[in-house]
Amino acid sequence: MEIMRLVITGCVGAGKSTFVRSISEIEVVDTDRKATDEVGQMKQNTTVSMDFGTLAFGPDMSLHIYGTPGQSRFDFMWDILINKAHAYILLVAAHRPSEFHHARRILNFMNQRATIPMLIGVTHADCSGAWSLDNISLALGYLPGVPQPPVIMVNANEKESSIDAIVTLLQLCVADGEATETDEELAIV
Amino acid sequence: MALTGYLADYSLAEILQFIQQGSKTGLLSISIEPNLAENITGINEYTWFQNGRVVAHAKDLSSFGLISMLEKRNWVGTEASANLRAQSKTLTAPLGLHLKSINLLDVEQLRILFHAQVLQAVCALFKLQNAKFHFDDRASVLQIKPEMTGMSVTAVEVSLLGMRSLKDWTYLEPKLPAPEFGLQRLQEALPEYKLDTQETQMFTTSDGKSSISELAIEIGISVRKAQEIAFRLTAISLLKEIALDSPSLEQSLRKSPVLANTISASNAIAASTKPKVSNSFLNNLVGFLKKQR
Repeated sequence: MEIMRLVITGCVGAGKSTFVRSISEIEVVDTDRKATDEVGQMKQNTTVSMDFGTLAFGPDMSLHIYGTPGQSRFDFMWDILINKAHAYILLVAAHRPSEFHHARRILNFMNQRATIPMLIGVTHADCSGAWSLDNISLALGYLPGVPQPPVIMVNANEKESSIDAIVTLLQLCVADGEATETDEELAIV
Repeated sequence: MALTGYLADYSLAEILQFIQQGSKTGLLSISIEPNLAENITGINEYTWFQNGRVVAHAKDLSSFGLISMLEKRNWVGTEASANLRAQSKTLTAPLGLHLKSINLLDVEQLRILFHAQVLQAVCALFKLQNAKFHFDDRASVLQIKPEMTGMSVTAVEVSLLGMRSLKDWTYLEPKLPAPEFGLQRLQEALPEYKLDTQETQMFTTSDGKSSISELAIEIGISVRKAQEIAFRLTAISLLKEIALDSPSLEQSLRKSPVLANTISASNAIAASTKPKVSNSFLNNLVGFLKKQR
């Protein structure tokens, strides 16, 4: 079985659970439920501090999606999840500038722990007081003119929007894989 | 695009860092609505920025704030003052520079004006916790030449001064870096502007390995004080918070007994391998997802 692990992270209320639910083909395991499926196999009847969903697209291919807890007191869970992830999405609620500082803290943490493809998904962009993508990017510490990950709008309530975000991220993974292969070939030469 | 919010949510230190890092030009308005029932007097404060630097500050939009300051200090006579008010709309240079060019003010007087008009006034804004802010990056600074001395200061320099003067850090408490976090320098050299002794010690001893608690002991200050200095230096982009190696899972769980049930699940993920994902897998997944739209 070939498995890709995708982590969805962000502050409380950014839309992580909704995002995981919008994509998962199984009933999402969340903090308030008894564990089932893969997580359940780890320990039955365990309440877990994360969301977990899957998407199988072949007899031996599956995407596993993990939604991290939003609060920093669970940062050891971020650590565990990001270390095993192939890519991640940081969700940021555009209308909650009060959360930007925490989002930046999560971003720093994740980037410090793992160098993997990532993108920033901006949710609630249609809400009153929402910041623009450029300004959110700046508030997260990306200076103008400096390379930065894609920053895209995401409506976690719409499956199509979540799919678009994942497709954008997968394209980064493909490009990243090609770059790695080229590096490996050069190393062999 | 205008940005609106409350300082309790997005602090003035963060706003000033945002403005400097984005080299923003525009007008930051900070206001508190008057509330007679609760004996709260209304406040309106206006700060203008040009390319990330503070160029002027006023308590109203009349454009006569700087002229009033000159009048209070008796640095212009009644007639000259009336003339300045009449000419204010047609000024082609900042008022301060104009007055210097006609030898009505010298550089030292401009410095005094700028200190009172901008540095003192903006620092005082840090005490406002429940105020509303509105930053309009379409507001032009060309209109405010009568309020400009011609001097300017970077947004983070004035932010540093403001944070130093802050006595009550309660509303910033959720943003303070945790004592177990480390700090990494974002530049090797000290900045051109002056840091105080403790800030300099914090900057030079931050090695990306020691925690803020350890730095506090090394510098000889309380952990809380070290957190405040760490916040100051991160808010002016000299340091960056970093997570040091996590305590063991068991330690974390001891701190959060409510999470005790997660230990098996977490251990299982931690113990699992992370095989490489093939390009054919990625391409198949992209194709599959596109069909799901």
